[in-house]
Amino acid sequence: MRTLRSLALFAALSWRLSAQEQVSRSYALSAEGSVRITNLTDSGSIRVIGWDKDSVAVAGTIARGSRFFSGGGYQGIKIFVDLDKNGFTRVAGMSDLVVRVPARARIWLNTAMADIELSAVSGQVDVMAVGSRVRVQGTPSELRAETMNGDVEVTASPTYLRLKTATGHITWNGSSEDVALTTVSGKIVITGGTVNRARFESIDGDIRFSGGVTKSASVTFDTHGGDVTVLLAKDTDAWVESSGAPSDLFGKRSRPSAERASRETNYATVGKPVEAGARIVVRSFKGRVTASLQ
Amino acid sequence: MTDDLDPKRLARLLDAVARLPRSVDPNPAVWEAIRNRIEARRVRPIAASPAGADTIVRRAPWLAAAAVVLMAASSGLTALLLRVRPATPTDRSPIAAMPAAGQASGPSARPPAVAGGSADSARSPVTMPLPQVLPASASTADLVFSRYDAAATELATELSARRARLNPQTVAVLDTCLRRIDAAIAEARSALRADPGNAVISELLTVSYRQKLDLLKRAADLPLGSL
Repeated sequence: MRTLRSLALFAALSWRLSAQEQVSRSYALSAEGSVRITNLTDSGSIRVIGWDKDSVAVAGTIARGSRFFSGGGYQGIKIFVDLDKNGFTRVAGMSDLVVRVPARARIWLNTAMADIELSAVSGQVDVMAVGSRVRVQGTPSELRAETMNGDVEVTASPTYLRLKTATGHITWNGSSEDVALTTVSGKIVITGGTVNRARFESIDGDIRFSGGVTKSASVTFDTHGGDVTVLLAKDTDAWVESSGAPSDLFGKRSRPSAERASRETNYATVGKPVEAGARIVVRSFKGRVTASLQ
Repeated sequence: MTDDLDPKRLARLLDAVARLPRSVDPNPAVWEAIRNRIEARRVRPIAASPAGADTIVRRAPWLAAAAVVLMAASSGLTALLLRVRPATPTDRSPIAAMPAAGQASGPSARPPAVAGGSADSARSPVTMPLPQVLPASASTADLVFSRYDAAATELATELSARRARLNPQTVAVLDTCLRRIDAAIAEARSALRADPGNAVISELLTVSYRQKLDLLKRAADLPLGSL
């Protein structure tokens, strides 16, 4: 019995190994060159790691039945994984790539289902994905990431940040000068830092903000049916208003209205905001709104 | 320091300076070379996109139309909001000094951002989707939102044509999201009919429509076959 099990394990392992093809490439690339990575296969992963070298190194495995291309010049490199429609009829195995790039490189990632992980990058990053989970850690100067049903997790403080999902959750830990997080039904969770110009939107996904705002911040929450929770840092100075659904702003509840259509706006102040100081606006059609100090 | 200068030499220098031309044209041959270099940079090759160069060209009118509808709708809504919103907060407000919601300084006064960013709105030229025929009693909001509807219908038609070639799981996600957004839109429009001057509902409705158009545009951008 044990022999049979060993044989089966060996056969499975052999099939798994034969189902994948090893790749290893390297290219010279300017420290601020561009790297465009596309993976249109149904599974797998891409890890992009910034390093202090003016070169790109690609290593990993490509699923059998997929095609792998890479090439370019000193200013830009393209890496492409796709289904080989003219070859194998079925894809076997997964395409898992590790791509090391100059830390300041401009990065474009376009994937279908392959999970994405970026770390130690400091240039501009664009991610377009469908079902991929996207994780970013580092110091990107700008970051845009979109997925449909994959989750997005970002621990970074780019100057400009745009994260967008349909059903995937968005988790962001950091600060930003200009941020917009948008989802249809995923949850948005913001923790940590300070925002200046910020927009958080959902249709019915809950939004939870825990952090600070700058003295002249302009922060907007819009949701149709998601609950909005705002936990502000203790030293915050801001005007806060909530319109639409009933709200509780620092213990001050909006006046209940007999008729739903006649919605009341609830105002509050935190700290000592100046006249043109920070302003936080929450609009909710029917989701509960709660604001409090941390 | 000028005391050390010879007055005669100084006079000659001033005289020579006065005779200098007020402007000097560059050497035409040099300028020609510079201009050629500038012109050469203006023509940039379009980055090859394996899945979608032709798709982008084919969809350009739809995307451009959607972008323009968003801009038009934003303008219309801004006009609507400025018309219906009180200039100052109510007396109940404990922050009477706070800028009114309709003023330019506040976040709610910003026109809604065009989904997809400026890159989308740069796709022109443009054919504005015509709104459905509206009754004469239709409000500004009805007109604005009917344009959103028209743009969404066009994008949804295109999505229908691509639906069979998209991953079923992705299509299921899209359908679920569109149903949720449509439900939110229906609910908000119903509330707006009951309270036509409610700027908050108008803003939320705009957000829902913007999300719908953005989702449809993203669906239209999905590469075919490989998903």
